[in-house]
Amino acid sequence: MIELTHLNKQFGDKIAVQDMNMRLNPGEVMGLIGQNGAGKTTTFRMILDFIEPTSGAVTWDGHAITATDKQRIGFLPEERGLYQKLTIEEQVMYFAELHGMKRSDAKSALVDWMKRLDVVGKPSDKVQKLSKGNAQKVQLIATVIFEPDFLILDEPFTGLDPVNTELMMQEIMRLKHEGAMIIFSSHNMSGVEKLSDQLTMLRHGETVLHGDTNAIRESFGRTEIYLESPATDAELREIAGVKSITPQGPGRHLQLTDAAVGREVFQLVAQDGYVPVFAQQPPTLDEIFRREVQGGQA
Amino acid sequence: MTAKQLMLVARQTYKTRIKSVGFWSLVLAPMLILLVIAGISFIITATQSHKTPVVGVVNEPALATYLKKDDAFDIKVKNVTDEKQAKRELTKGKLDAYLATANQKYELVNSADGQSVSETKMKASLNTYTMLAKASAMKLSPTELQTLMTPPTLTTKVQSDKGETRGGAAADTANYALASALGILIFVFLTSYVSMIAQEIANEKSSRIMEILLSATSPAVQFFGKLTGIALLAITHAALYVVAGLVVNVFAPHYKYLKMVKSLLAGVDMGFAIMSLLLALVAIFMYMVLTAILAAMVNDQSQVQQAVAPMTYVAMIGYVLTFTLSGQPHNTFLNVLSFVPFISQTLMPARLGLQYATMGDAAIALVLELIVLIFLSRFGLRVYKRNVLTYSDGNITKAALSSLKGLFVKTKD
Repeated sequence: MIELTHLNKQFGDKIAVQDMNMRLNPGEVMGLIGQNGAGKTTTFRMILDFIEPTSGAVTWDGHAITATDKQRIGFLPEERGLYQKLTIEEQVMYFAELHGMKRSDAKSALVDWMKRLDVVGKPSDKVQKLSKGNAQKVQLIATVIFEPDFLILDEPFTGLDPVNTELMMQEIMRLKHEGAMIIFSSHNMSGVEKLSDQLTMLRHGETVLHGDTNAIRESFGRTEIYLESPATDAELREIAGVKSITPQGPGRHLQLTDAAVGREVFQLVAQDGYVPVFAQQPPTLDEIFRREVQGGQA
Repeated sequence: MTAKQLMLVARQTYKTRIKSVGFWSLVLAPMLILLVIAGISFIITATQSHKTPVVGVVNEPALATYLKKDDAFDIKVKNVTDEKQAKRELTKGKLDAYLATANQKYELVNSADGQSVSETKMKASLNTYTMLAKASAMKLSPTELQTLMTPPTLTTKVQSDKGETRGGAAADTANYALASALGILIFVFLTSYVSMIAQEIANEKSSRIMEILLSATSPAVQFFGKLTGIALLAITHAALYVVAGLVVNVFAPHYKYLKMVKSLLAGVDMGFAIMSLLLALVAIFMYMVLTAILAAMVNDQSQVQQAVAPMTYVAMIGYVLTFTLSGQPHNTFLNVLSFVPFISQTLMPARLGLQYATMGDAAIALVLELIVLIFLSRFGLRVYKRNVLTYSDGNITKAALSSLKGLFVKTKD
């Protein structure tokens, strides 16, 4: 179990991370969200011992992270870096060996990973010849080839197309099911929602939301309705508690002041016994993020 | 710090660099320069219009016969009856010079546009000829003549307050020559490997690979692993030259540059050679460690030269000062500098070679170097750790100064 206890980091007068607490068990995924400069990367750097916390502690199963523990950590930095003049194999072998993996095991695992992630090219190809997407896949392979127990991914979906994003998500889920502890930061809220068991939202280094992803959403109440119905906007607006109506795709998105208002809306749109679509949900993470982060700045 | 990871980093650094064109260009450059010089001298020799000069000997048939038989003197000899004829033939270009005799005095008249005749060789031939003529007039036996012509043997020793050395001035010259040659060699090695290590670190830092490496290892593993890798590369480089020398020694033992090096090394005192090499070796490691520290402050490749330049200047100071050393055994400034690490690697061997310093002095300089090396490795690691993942806003001088402040603040390895 990874535990961050009262973690603080200050650079001069600037507070980068303030009193952060989190716990991550094997097989759990933690999503870290926040605007640029919110303290996500600083948190990762403290976990990896790149920088020392001003106060607080990072522990793995109750003790400070040791050199041996570090070998079981896979880290994908936000700014990707590979040795351009090395071949895919040389590159991945080096990182795998540094993590204590046997060369022969890494060699056969690389072939499997390249197939699974659909990397175009051979292990003997030089990295500089790879397309951006393929280079990112190689970077991920180098991060996870040794089947880490703890995985830190800093903006893993940045620059990936939807197909590769889906591939990456599948691999993260696979590692989670195999018992890895995973912490990742992202601006891709649907990705965070899909993958995370827990969520931590940061604003200027301060934790504004923390907990189970679904529970966080539910805590905001089911105040959002997606509706496809012949009922007019004027009829809907007559219901007290309908805050706003916005066209969304073939239907409309309604925002309510109170989840209970949803029952009145449903009665209106289903009065003839049929409504094509009525979905009352809590706000999406994207909306929560905007409310909490941008609202907090206002 | 795990030994296995350290060896992995060293092996990776070594493997990547040894396969690079840059390393082999560095190794082959001196050999290519030698080849080019040999090629140019060959072309010059092959195309030059030099012919054996024709020398007329005026009315001295015996001398003419002697000169014809002298194998050491490459000239064609022609008997000329009188000086008038000699002058005529010289004007017409039939002779390149003529030798006239009057009252036991010889006169060599050269043509301005003819082939040149070596004055030194002519003097040597005339000396021997005159001595032989005199010996013959005195009716000396061949043994007496041999005794007469054997030069005296002179063995030199130098007695100074630094102790006595055998070989005297000849050995001093050899030692000094070796010290100067080492100076050039150290300078070339330093500038090459210092910039190599700087590029290695700057590349990993600027491409953010360093973050991945440090997530699995520690800064100490990276710092010492890279230094070990580059040091092994430098040792391979030196070993390649030794092997090349041995190959030339086996297959072309009469190669003139090899003979030159062998004759120079034959005069070198063994103790001096070992001490000089040790001073050089420790200095190279010292420079490498300092470079690794400075390179960690670099933000990208474009700043590598800025970080490496001060190293080069300091190395150059020691090298240049060796030329001012001769004839100044008691210069306090130079004497003190020869003990100062980063400069002593060239200045101390040069002083030792000139008998201005003792082996004890050199040993002190070596110990000082070792102390600085240990200090740099220990405290430099802190600076390295502080900077290797910090990206300042471009000014590495500022980064260097702020690092100095934190030099004595202990961090985890």
